[in-house]
Amino acid sequence: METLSVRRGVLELVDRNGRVEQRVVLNGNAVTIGRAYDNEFILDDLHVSPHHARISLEGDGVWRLRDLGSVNGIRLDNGRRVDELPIDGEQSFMLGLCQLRYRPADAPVPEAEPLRERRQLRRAVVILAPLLCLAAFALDADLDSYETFGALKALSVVLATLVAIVIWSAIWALIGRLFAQRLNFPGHLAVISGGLLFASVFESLSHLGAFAFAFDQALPWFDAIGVCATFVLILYGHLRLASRLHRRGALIGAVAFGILLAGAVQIKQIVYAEQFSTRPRIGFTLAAPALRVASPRPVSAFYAQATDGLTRELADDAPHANAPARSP
Amino acid sequence: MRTLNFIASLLAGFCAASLALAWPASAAENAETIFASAKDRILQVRLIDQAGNAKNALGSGFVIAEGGRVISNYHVVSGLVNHPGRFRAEYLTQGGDTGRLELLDIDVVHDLALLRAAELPEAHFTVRAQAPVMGERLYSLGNPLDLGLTIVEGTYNGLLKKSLYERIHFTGSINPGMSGGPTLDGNGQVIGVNVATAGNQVSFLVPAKYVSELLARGADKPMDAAAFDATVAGQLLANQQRYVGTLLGTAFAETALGGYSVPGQIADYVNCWGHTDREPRRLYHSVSYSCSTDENIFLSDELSSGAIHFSHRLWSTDDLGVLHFFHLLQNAANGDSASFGGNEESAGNFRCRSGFVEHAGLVSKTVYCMRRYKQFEGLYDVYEQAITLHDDHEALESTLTLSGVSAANAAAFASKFVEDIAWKP
Repeated sequence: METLSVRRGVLELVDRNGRVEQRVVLNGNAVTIGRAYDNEFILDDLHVSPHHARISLEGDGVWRLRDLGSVNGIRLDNGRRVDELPIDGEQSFMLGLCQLRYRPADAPVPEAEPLRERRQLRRAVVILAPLLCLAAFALDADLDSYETFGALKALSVVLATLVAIVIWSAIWALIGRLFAQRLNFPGHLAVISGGLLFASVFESLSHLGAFAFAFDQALPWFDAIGVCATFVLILYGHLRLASRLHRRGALIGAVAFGILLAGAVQIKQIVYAEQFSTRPRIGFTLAAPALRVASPRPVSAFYAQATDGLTRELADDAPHANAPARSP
Repeated sequence: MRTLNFIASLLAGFCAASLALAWPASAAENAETIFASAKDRILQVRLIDQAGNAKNALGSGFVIAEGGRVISNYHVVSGLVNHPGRFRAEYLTQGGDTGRLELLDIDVVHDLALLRAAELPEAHFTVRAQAPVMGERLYSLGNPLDLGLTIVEGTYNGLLKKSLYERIHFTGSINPGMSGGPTLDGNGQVIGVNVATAGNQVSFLVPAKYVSELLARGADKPMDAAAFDATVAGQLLANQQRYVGTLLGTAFAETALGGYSVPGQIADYVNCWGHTDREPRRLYHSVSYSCSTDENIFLSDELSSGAIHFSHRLWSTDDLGVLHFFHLLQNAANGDSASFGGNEESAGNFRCRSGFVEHAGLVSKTVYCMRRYKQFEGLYDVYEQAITLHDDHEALESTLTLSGVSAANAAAFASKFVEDIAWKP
């Protein structure tokens, strides 16, 4: 039994994202691979010969793949072409443009995820994320209102946000329908509201932190990190739901897009900050006095040190490139 | 001896009587006579745009010494040094003669420029050494709105009492274009130089003693841009040292705002105003107290300098929670910063530092911002803002702006200002 389990294996056709598209169980009998219909494993690829290769169990109990005189041959992951390939344990190779993978029958697979609990968790996320997101926006709007009837203003912000995230999610659901044959509107709603909730919480915490520890000057960097992380989170979620991309592919796509978008936003911020302004841009954070952690400093020491740092920083500012030469 | 005395006193009495009789007559030599005798020594000063060969700015000027020395306002000819090569200065006499004017020297603090023209008649004005008496009749001359040489009668009303920069209060209508023209007494001597108006016959003159001081410096060579920058920087630094230095050496007058004691009218040239903001729909209210100098120094069309402004605003609430209240203060603090004027050529961007400070047990969050004058070495504009973290439902927001000061004076002034804010319930 033990030798059999070693000899038994599975040959899989894997797509670019690592998903298995086709699979044949190798019981010990030889299997021919090619485009012709008389093969045991038929590959629908123009670069695969009609009778491309054959995999068979040799006398030494090892599977061996042999080229049957194909045009494009057998290629390893490193691109090297081989006529013959002994297969011992997991092995990947290319025939034409097809990525094939051999796995022994005893290759481990993870335990199944419990069906009910997962569904409940998803349902909870799908319901809670939009609710918490709207609550965060309502709180934010309420904080910005200093007149009576502030609740009405908060309500109008909540409604506007709700409309926006519903439209956004519907667009992503349609994209998912096109590319992955899945609508999953509640999932997309959870993704966008979860992302916005994250952004709101991150911004509040970084502002409170900036106040408490007196690092207002570093706040733009925290904002940049927050924007970038929010973009990555939202894009990753949408890509996972609306495409056939695997985790890694979706993550790479999301990080790449997230960095691009956040970079664009950040460049705009830098351009804005460097634009000439007749007003100081002070970026002042304030919160309840009890939240202060950093110790206060004597007034004259603060101003002396600030002046010292600022005069050095200002001396480093090169004159503006457009300033005319001041000689008559 | 008695007889002699009698004759002497009789003569003295006669002379005094004839002088008294003669004075109204000489005052009544009036506008007509003064205009006739002065008109050839007064010029229209024009700044010509070299590219378009057309006038860009107009003002007035007058011949003050031999060798074609002409006095005008700095603000009339500032384009010559602020935009080198873009403009040239020309004069136009009443007879229609024109010629080039060269800039020799400036007094930027008092807005005066000394110019030189090659071909002008030697006749010139003289400066009156004695101050005029209150109510003395004066005659201001210039070219208002390019309408031709005009004479305006008015009276001397003393020096401005609440002014950082010495100015004569002249009750007469000075209009745009008369800037740089002379204001004369009844004998045709220069009392002051037309410089500004507040409308409704409230006009201001630069006292003639500053014309004498500018002439006494004996500048003889045309001023280039580099010399101009160095001269202006030197004059501005000396000027700020004069008033900031004095203020730093005296205790600030204090005023009460709620339970706080704050810097109030720190000098007689600082003008203070109050305002209460109490709208029934708002969940907070505020009381403001703000002070500023009324004048500043013209440097260019975009930038002026040499002013102090500060304000205190006491915020309080009965209805807002502490988070909500300080969120309101944060928004207010970020939206309240003052505009300083200037452009990319004249100044850099502001850079700021913030942190917590404590004085006499009162903790505040403060931000301090500075920007550098690109043309004038060693001079800065500064903005300071402090908010007390003393109470969950009441806070004092204080802001201070200083323009055209040295870094050391700015830091000393801002420190003194913040240290003078105290909680004295």
